[in-house]
Amino acid sequence: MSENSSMEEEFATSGNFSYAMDYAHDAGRGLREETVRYISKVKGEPRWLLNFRLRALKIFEAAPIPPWIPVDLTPLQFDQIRYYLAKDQEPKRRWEDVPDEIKATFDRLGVPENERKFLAGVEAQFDSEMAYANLRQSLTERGVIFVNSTEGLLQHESVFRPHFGKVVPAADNKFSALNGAVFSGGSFIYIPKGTKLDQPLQAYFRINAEQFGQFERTLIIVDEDAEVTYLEGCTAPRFESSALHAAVVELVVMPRAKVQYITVQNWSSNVYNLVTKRGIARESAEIRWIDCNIGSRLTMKYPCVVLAGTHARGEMVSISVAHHGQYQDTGAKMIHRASHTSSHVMAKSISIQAGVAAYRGITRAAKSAKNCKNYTRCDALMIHPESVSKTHPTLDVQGALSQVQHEATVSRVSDEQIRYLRQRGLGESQAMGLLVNGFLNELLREFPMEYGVELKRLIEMEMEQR
Amino acid sequence: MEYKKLSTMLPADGILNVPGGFWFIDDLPAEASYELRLDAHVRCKFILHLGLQGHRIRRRVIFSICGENAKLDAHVLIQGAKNQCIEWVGIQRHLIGNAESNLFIKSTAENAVEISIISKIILDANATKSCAYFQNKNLILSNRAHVTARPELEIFANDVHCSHGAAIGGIDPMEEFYLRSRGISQRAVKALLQRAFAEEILCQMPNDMPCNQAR
Repeated sequence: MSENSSMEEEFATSGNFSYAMDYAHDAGRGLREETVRYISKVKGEPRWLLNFRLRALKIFEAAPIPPWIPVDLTPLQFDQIRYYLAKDQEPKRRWEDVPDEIKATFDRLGVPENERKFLAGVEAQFDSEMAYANLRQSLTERGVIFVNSTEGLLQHESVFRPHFGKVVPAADNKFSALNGAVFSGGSFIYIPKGTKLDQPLQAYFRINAEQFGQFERTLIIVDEDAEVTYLEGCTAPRFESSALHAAVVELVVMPRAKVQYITVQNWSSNVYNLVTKRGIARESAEIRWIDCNIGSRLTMKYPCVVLAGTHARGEMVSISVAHHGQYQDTGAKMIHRASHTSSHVMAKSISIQAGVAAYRGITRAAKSAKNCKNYTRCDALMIHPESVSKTHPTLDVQGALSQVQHEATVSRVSDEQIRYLRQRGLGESQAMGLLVNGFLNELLREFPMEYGVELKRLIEMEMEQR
Repeated sequence: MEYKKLSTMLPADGILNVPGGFWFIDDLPAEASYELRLDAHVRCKFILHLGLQGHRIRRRVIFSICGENAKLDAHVLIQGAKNQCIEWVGIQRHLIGNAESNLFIKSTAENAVEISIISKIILDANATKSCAYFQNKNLILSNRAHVTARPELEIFANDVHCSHGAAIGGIDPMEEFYLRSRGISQRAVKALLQRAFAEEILCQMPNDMPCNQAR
């Protein structure tokens, strides 16, 4: 019992901690051309990158907000958001050098312990810039690059520039254009040919300031026959006003390479999380997106795999939990452009109280692609009478040589199930937690063990809070 | 089985409170939009056929379940040929609970046919203890054909049974090989498998209908 109450206490305060900070660089509120020029100047960027930013800004200003966005975005107030806040330009390489107030935040999130325990490299982003970045010496010697976006573009231009902005161009959508204009932070990773990383690389993203926008940009290039697992975790404190997180993630996966990209998103309920994630898989390459969305006011995230090489494979495992007042609009895009490609999507969502969980996805098989196979399954669990569940899939097939399938079910926790568990001595919330974990168990096993256990515990706590 | 033709009863505004029974919908204009309402205790079965004539065919059908214990069973067959462009928009809306609806769509696309199937199940907050199912199977017979399916769900009540499924694919190469190895020509194999695919719905159609006279 005392363990339960301490868990509840920990949960109740888990998102609340924020620290007063003195920022060395602040681009002010609102977005104008000067804001973009300021960011570029502070970061000491070359001319071509400033032009890229300015072009993206023009696209952002011209593009309308997509009419199908399910939630009113007016609380966001683009002219009140702070687009760049940073304490330092260079991330610290030693944990001891990280400023105390930032260290306190990441200490609480468990960054140093995780790094010691099971990570090959870690980056911790605090508002706009990386506060800490470290990669094991042995991997640096093998040619692995794991740096922040500015460092990547300045010091490894020949590696990153040919792929930068090619998978997700600035004109892709309004929020990718916004990211293109003001991006800062995020990871640049290069895994050389034949290098297989046994341990994952990880990034932590933290919003600390009020009315702030975080726009990190991640580019991962995995060369032939290489393998990597990348983990990202996101948190933010709870403020009265809204914050924006508009990230862009690009994956370039060369022939026979494998990438596993794992996200655990636990933003606070005032964050609008509008993210564009896309990967290109060449011949016999494999991309796996594993995505868990628990927090935020609105999440719109549809990780995409473009299967551009023969025998490429794409996979998506998605868990989303929508609480009262939250809208989780998640899904997957599988674009089959080459023959003999396959993709698999498994999505499970839970709506609690008046939460809305939606699946939105597309599977497209091009005319030129033969023998493509896709299977998509989405299951929804609705906990309360006012819960809402939606499914918006699109299947688009040209030509007679591909097989595409979609299935969806909606169910609820029945009174009989609850009664059965209560008869065995469990409390109602424990019974509910057990049933919800049972519903998700199949997908939770896809996460690394440490994350799977943590997620199970988090979901149990969420059910007890309901 | 006795069947009734919907086209003879459809009012100008396109909204019809359907009495129970077996309905066949065939001879409507190329572009038609109507709402079929099922009141309490009404049990209906609809058979719809699209694609016999016309270049651009568009159907927008709303099945509204307005009363308890109503049961809807609708089977739709879409057969596109040449360069037809066929669009189906179907909405199963449950306004009240304790009712059941089941929509089953099969389509075949030959030559340069374009078929778009948009379907939505909407279960209102009052529609507790509803059962709503949608199933869609599409067979593409030519490399120039294009099929898009968009099966959507919007569920606002939690005590419901609801599922949907959609599949798009070509002829199974194993089935084709089996028939070809028995000496049947490529063309005949295609026609036979197409026929077998559609048979599930065709066999329920009245014998005197044009779409069934070719059997």
